[in-house]
Amino acid sequence: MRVRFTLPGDRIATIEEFEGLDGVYQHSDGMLRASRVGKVTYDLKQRYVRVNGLKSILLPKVGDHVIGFVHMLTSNSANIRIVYINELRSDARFDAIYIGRGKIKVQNMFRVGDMVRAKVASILNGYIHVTFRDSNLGVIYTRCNQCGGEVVRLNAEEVKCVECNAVSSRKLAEDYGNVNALRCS
Amino acid sequence: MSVKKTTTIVEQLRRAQMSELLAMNKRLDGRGLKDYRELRIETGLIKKANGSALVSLGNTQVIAGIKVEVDEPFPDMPDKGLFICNAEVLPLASPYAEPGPPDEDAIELARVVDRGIRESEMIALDRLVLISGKKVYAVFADVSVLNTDGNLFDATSYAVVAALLTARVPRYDVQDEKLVKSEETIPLPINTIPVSITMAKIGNSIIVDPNAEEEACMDARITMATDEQGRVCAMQKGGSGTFSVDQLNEVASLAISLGSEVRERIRSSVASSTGGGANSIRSMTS
Amino acid sequence: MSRLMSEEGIRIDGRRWNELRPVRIEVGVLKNADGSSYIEFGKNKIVVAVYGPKEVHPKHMALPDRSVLRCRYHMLPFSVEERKNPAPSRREIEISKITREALEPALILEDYPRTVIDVFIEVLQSDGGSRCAGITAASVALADAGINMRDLVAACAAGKVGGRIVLDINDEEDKMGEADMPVAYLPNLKQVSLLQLDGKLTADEYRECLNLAISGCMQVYSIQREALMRKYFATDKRGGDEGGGGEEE
Repeated sequence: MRVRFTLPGDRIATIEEFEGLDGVYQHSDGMLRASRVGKVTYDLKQRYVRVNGLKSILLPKVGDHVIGFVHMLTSNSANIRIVYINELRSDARFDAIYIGRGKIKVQNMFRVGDMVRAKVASILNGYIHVTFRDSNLGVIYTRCNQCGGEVVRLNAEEVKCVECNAVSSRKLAEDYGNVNALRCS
Repeated sequence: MSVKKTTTIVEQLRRAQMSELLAMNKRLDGRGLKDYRELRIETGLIKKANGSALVSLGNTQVIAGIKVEVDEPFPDMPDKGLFICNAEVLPLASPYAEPGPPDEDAIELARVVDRGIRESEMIALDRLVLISGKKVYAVFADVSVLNTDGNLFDATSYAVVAALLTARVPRYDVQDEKLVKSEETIPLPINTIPVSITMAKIGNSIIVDPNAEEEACMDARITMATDEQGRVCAMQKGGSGTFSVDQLNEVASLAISLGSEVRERIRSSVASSTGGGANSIRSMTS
Repeated sequence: MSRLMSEEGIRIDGRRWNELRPVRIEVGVLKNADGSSYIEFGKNKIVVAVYGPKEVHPKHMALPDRSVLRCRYHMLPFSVEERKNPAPSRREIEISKITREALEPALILEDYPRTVIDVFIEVLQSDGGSRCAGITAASVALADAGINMRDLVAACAAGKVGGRIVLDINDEEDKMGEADMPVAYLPNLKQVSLLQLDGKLTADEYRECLNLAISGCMQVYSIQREALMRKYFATDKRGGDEGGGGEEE
């Protein structure tokens, strides 16, 4: 493997020599050129070339874990404003959507304002779809529906308010109540 | 109409972490409760302005420029020059700042900074009169916030003060009731150096120089400007929480003692600044 | 000969006809921004921030197949001789538009559908050629943000002063000279993405002026490269600072 530094536009190879992967684009002149600041690596066996960017853009990808808060609820869907992508703070304000499929109504899984951990299931037409199908996914922080007080976990599906004793249903993540779920990054 | 911005649950979670640390007299960024962040001041980098200063307070970065014009005095103050202070948070300063006219926060910022300078009588406005009742100097201080990380009040105030201290304005001669601009420039007439100190209350703790994360979690904020004699000359309480009288006494003593410390910092920065400015933005971020 | 050009062909600020003013670029100067840069181009002092790709608000502005690029060119009140009102002027709005159109062809916006990329150009102190300096700095800030690009964009003006075609018009030459022609150029792809002209040029002068402006863009480009290389690869001795899209090693 050979390593070299590039800036956008730099010629890397011809299309006959290599196939371009990440960070490489094919120009109409038959050249493969770098599309970012980074290090070029040529794989001489497989004939691949890529540019590993030195600064990656934080865009949610399928399989990523995201943390966000529910800002809109309908009878069968929830909109989540993403705040962390794989534990990295994101200020891009990406919106994810959850569409309920199971027997449980979406309103019984979250409330508006809840902090949730989800996994990106698919990205369709630019919409980020998330899933909660795992024990580490679900609500990581919430307050009482009735009085806004602190709540404690009763079981995986219910929380109880320490102030008014109201019990309400949630899809809780298994580490619910752990303040350090959000790292100080 | 003024409306409280909703705090997200992220901030509520952060507040819980912060409170645990504050109970042990610690802060998330490792500072002590009464420590302010690293303060850097560079003056004279904008040659087209009469005076200028770039200030960084931790990661908060602001630039102030002074423009001096000749104008008519206000009719009710024929023997006073004019001082006008404006501030804007540029959209490049944060992912949450939007382009557009200054919002209520930017207007409060400009007015609080203005008040500290005006009420301390930092500038001798009565010595800015060229022709009584007709012509006076008008001093415009414009501040632009380049990067926000909390406590814009103090950073902005230090930038305006440093820019005013180093400003040079054209001297005018009066001949037959007409102004003749001379080649010579003179400094502005300065009486005192006001210093603004901003503190925040989180739970029952008082912290100095809150950063953005702390401001998002704070109950209330207080800004106090003091003059060289250690007199309090302007204050502004902000945020939806309250202070007890004991806490207000504590913050006043803090504002006075930290104020004299910062005043020396401003004095020495202004005296040592080369005015080159070529390295300023780079050095601020290194 | 006018006072802008001496008998010996020396310009009002001491430069020869084909000389650029001093240019320096710093990369990554603002903490909050995803990408940023600072440029001094003559007496111009400009700071640029890039935010994004990020969610589009309002949502209906989003494009299904690409990112939306937004640009704002803005001057601070104390950046010019006479204090300027902070509200955007017609001039600033036009420059914002031509800046966007100069940068767009260099960006691979199709890689980020349904998002927006914001470019904020703030002029702290202005001199002649601030739009070119702004475009130059913006392209460096976009590269610093890690956004996929086909090329950098380098910009520089040429014009006619005291009867001669000269490179990189300053403030006084702009006000008193005969013509000013700002050009932005994609140095590897050899494409022009900004071209404006204020003033009169013959057909021959026009060709000469365009070629000179492009040679200025190439000089600016090597300063852009050097700034990015310094920021990202300064500690690493190996590799590609050969300037201008070098060949394989």
